[in-house]
Amino acid sequence: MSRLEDALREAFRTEDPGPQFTARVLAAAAGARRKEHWWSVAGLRWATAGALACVLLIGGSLEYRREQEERQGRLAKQQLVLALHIAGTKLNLARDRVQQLNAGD
Amino acid sequence: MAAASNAVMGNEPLPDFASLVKAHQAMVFSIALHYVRDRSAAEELAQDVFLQLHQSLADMQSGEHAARWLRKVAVHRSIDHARRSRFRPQVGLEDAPEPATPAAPGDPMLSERLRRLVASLPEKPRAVMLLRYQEDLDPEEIAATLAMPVRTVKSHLQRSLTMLREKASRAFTPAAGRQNLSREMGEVE
Repeated sequence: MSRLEDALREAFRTEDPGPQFTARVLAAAAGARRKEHWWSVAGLRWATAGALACVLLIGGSLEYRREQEERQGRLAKQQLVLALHIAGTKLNLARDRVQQLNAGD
Repeated sequence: MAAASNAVMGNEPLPDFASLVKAHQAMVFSIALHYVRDRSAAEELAQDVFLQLHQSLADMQSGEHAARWLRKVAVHRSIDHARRSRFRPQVGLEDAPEPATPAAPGDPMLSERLRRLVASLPEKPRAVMLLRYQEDLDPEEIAATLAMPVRTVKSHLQRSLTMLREKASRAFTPAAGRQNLSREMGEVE
């Protein structure tokens, strides 16, 4: 082993940053843990709000669809009633015409 | 500190976070300090490394695993920091806090000169030298830490030592008023 290597080992001896450093690291880690905990609680709140929003959105869209179908049903019923009414009128006219022809004979 | 480090280094179950910090803070801080050569930056960097360990604690299998992980992360973070600070103004010496522990015994001027010479090396050889002479790792362990071939580690070590011998021989001549260390530095094992 050369003296240069000995001198390098001496130059690069480890140095302890002291007990204040330990305390700072442990405090920072505790702070990070609190932040993580807060984050997880906040995350839970956000997740709940998101789920609620999804439920409302799906419920709203189903309700809208149901109303649309109902409106279309009502419209179809009105059209059918009108068509039957026209057909009835036409049949009455035809019957009156036939009766008039029979009376003329 | 060494005894505590040995106890934590074993393959026994993972110690708690506080024990890991106490056992390895000297190693992590010294890697950062010797690499970036700025005490406050080294403290900040070492703290970040431990906070990263705190987040990854669930992945640690043993004390030895945590020590290897800390060494690796400390070196890579130091390299990243040195890269970034190349483009940033440095903090003046007057702003640097006082050392927490007294300076190491020995020849402080020679040690400082060697640290400066090693600091002038490119990033990978600098990391190799640090792991070799601070952490006393053999080339295989250094290769595993830095994810490079063993042959490259040996080559970095050889070239860096040659360069240091040359530079040291120029710096410590009798004309400079110091003992002629050049011959001593040239002694090969």
